[in-house]
Amino acid sequence: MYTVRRRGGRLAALLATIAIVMAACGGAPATNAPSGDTGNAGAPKQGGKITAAIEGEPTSVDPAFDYDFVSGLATSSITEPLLIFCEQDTKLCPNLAESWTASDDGLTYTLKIRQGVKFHDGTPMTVDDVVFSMNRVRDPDLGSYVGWMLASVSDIKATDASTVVITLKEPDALFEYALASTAAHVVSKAFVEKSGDKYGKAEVGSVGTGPFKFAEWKTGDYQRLTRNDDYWNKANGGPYLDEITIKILPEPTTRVAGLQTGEIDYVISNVPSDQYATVQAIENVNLQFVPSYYGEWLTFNTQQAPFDNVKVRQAMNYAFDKKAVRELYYGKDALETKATLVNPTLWTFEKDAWQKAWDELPAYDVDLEKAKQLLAESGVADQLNGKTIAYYESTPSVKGAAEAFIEAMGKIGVQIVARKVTYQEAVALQFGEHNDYDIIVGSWGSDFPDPSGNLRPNFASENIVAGGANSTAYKNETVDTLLTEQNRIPNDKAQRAQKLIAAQKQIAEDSAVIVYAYPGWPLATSKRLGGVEAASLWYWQSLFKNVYVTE
Amino acid sequence: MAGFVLRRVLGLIPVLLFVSFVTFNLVRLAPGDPVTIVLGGRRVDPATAEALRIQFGLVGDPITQYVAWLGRALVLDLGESYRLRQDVVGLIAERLPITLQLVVMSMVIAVTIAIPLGIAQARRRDSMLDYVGSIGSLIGLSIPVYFAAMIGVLVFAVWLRWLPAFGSGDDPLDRLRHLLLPAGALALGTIALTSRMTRSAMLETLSTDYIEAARAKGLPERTIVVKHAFRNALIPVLTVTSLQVGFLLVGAVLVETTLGLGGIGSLITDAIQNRDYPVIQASVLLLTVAFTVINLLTDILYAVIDPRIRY
Amino acid sequence: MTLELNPTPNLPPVAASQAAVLRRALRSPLARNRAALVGLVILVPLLVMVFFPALLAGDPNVQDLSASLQPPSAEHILGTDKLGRDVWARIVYGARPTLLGAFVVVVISGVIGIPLGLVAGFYGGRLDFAIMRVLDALLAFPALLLAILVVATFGSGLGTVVVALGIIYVPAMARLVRSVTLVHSRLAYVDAGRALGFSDRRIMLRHILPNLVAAVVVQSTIDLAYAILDIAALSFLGLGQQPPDPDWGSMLADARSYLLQNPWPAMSAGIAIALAVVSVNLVGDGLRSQLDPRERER
Repeated sequence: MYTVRRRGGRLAALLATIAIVMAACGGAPATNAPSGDTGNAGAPKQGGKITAAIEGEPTSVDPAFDYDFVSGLATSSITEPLLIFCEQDTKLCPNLAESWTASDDGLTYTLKIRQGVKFHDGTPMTVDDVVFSMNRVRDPDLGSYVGWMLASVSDIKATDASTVVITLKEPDALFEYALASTAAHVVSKAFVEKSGDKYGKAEVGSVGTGPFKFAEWKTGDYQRLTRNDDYWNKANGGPYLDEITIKILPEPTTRVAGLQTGEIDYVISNVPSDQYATVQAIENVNLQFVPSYYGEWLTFNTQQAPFDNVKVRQAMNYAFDKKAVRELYYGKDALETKATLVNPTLWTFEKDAWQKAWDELPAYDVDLEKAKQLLAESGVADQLNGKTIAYYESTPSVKGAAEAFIEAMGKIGVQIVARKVTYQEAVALQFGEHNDYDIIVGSWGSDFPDPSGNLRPNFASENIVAGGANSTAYKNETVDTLLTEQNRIPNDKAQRAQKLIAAQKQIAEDSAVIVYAYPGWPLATSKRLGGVEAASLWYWQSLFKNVYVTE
Repeated sequence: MAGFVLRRVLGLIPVLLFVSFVTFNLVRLAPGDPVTIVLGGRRVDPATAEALRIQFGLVGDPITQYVAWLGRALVLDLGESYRLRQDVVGLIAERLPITLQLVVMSMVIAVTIAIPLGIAQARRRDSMLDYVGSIGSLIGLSIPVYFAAMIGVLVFAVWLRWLPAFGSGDDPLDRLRHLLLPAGALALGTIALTSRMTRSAMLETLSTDYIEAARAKGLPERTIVVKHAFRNALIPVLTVTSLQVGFLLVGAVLVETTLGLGGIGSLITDAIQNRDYPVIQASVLLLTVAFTVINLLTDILYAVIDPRIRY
Repeated sequence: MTLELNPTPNLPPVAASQAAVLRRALRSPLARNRAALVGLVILVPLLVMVFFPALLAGDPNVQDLSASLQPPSAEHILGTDKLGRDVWARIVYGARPTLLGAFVVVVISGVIGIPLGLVAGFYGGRLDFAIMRVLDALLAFPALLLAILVVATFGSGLGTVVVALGIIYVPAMARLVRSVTLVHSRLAYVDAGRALGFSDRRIMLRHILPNLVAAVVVQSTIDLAYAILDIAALSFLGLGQQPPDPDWGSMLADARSYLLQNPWPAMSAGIAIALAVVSVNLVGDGLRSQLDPRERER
């Protein structure tokens, strides 16, 4: 059964890929987004209707509840954040805020709010709306799914008609990125208050400042958006399309069949990893891969015997042919992996330092002799038989990796048993007490263009608690200190990089995880579309703003 | 008879209480806290988690929760979906038409194919047609409905491009076109059972004395078959067919998930995956009522056609 | 000692069957019935797959990641799956969980359902009412849905699926047994037995039970066919056997995503399920026509 994948680290996470562009650069981060250039010349023209497919029912069009891979298609086209990710989603650029400054102590952010922007109902967007929107997300009674992003905020207020000042409790290196997420989408105060409980739900929808307006939502079937002719940022492209239908199609084969018959024009992330060849073969469809901040991995429970033994973990890492699995699902061009979740796309600052560190990181290339030797040295080989590898089949590669892992362990004389779990069990394992599993197949991707977004949630020991994401139960005092310190110095990128790199090195040497792929986001689009753009953090912004129909 | 019906309808009440109680507790026994799942595992401050817990009605012991749920359910307040944040009654009302249309359409397809087929088979017993019909109905009975749906998409949507691959269409005519494939796949089993039933019922009536008498009187064969034999064969056929509605409802769960139709079936499987208690509770209850009512109607029908059946 | 039975020809077919009919049926070979013969012809290799898979194929779990999704060849007669495993071997080894699982489902439903139906039908009254209401409640759940719920609660795996389905199949079996028992317990020979001072237990086990055999056998073949389909459906939905061991439903689920690329694995699994159900249905039809005098006349 197919459920909505959630972002930011859920095991479920992604549907992965080959990052072709990145591979071509020898592991360096891509400098150009896949432009979706379909080879169709000519200027964009207004008009046309397209249909996109998603795999599950969206949660809401209320940005406060948009934290998955299916709600964002509509939500991020209707409402917009204060800042926006740009340059392949590695940097922040102005959006509804014209400019912003951070104080030297990293505690105060001052934003200039753009004037003259109108909501879809014609009312002007004001600083009141901005303050209301963010305070709404922070309100525990609302139960927003993105409220945690603003956890370090102590106060938000408007100081004049165009200035909003945000004060933090303590410096937080990841805070500014939240300003480009759904936690900082500006909603219409009047509309939200008028709609009450119904806001964001199918009956009333939402009103924002974005390039498309909410038109209709038939639950279980589709959402429909129409063009906002009064969009404030038309100077920079679209919107062009008259209408976008976002169709809910839970069955992967059906989505592919839809691409094939031309009924579907746009699928992002929800192309199953074992159907790339099929999609690539469709004549009227382009399949490209958007670089991601993701990794697919196996996590050991490092607090539990025998996986608390570093030699066991290393032996298993050497025995598992990560390259074969990666190439099977993501093709020969797929990015090479090393024993870290920070893939080259995520080197958003201090690139040279990261590159140097990368070159020194262990890759644990398959080596059965070494594996057997390490296993013998560990002295606990006999305790391994019957240990389990838990997985939830969010995408075929996850099951494939589990099955290939079992087979590989057989080659070094270890019997590992599959433990297929349901989605809710998987969530309970990854975010539970961290004591009820041996190995999990999962995936994780940072929500922000910052390596800390991958390292801190997964390896800081404060996250080995219920609700925490440290699924290796990894606990190392040095790493803890490094991860905490780097978060307190948002303005000193060089220092931050150094500390993160030191933490990454320790984790890799401990072989706490086996990383087998850095899949990109598959993006399948009809060749009749132009202006298709998407980058690593596509789910935080409008995918359709500059899309047009060529024929 | 009236007493029997009344007894059975009253008997429904404990059944529904039982089913709702079992479902209520079964879903809560399973691993995975709905609040954690809804949050996707993000660590939130306890106040937010608590607020969601109260919103979801997950405070207090299970019995208290059940009683509270029951109290609201009696006034048709079935709560709000955790995941979709929509009123469950509204959600079901929105999804139900698709499932019903799917079931009705398969029923129509099944009856229009199966009954003439069964009659023809009975009339030309042991002919080529009878053979092919029997083999066909055997296959229809044996092929998994999701497999049939997959093959259907492959052949009719991808290769021949006659029918849409998925979805449910907008206007009524479009809807009909969209539902043809799933309803056809779903109908296979019912076609098989109904044509078999028709065939054997027709064989039975065709060999009775009064048909012989009619033949002796020189009535045209067509009149005999349609006016006399078929009318008598119809009742058992309809009875068996009506019982099929229950199977179709369950089959719809599989077809809807396979072909991406937003009906009750996909709602329920989604809800189970996501621990969306209110939705599971309400839709299981709905299907149970439907199922029980169909069983009841069938029992009544049986009693009507065969007064010897005691209750 | 044989007690004279009084057949009641107009009751539903199964209720009319008798022990004598069964014996005659077993003497007269099923071979006379062409359809059943075909069923047996399909069933035999399936049984070999269930009990002696090693005779037909090699290890179904050997992977060759470099030989993914190959079309049929001399080496792999049905080609290979995504992980380069032999599809034929997986079909062969996948028979056991699917077919034996379905068989156990029917056994469970019989072990629980037959005594319940017997007691309910024999004693009638309040006991009957109580038993039947509980069964009705169970019957009120749409079967597949209840199975999904139970499996979601207690964890996926073949064991859970089989037990859940076994219990779900109880009401149908119990109802049938009850209805046949009802008929027989009103017949003269039961009163005769009572008059002779036989215990209820003896009357039930020695006199009524043998009369149930035909009906139970027929019902079991019907249940078996449905159980195969239900097990396959549940593992199709991802709730069955733990990987990497194969079963047909999950093979179909895995293979459907590359159906357009290489239809062999999906087709093989789908056809295997359909063939197994066809053979059980054919054998069942054959048994029914042997056991039910009315059917045989036709």
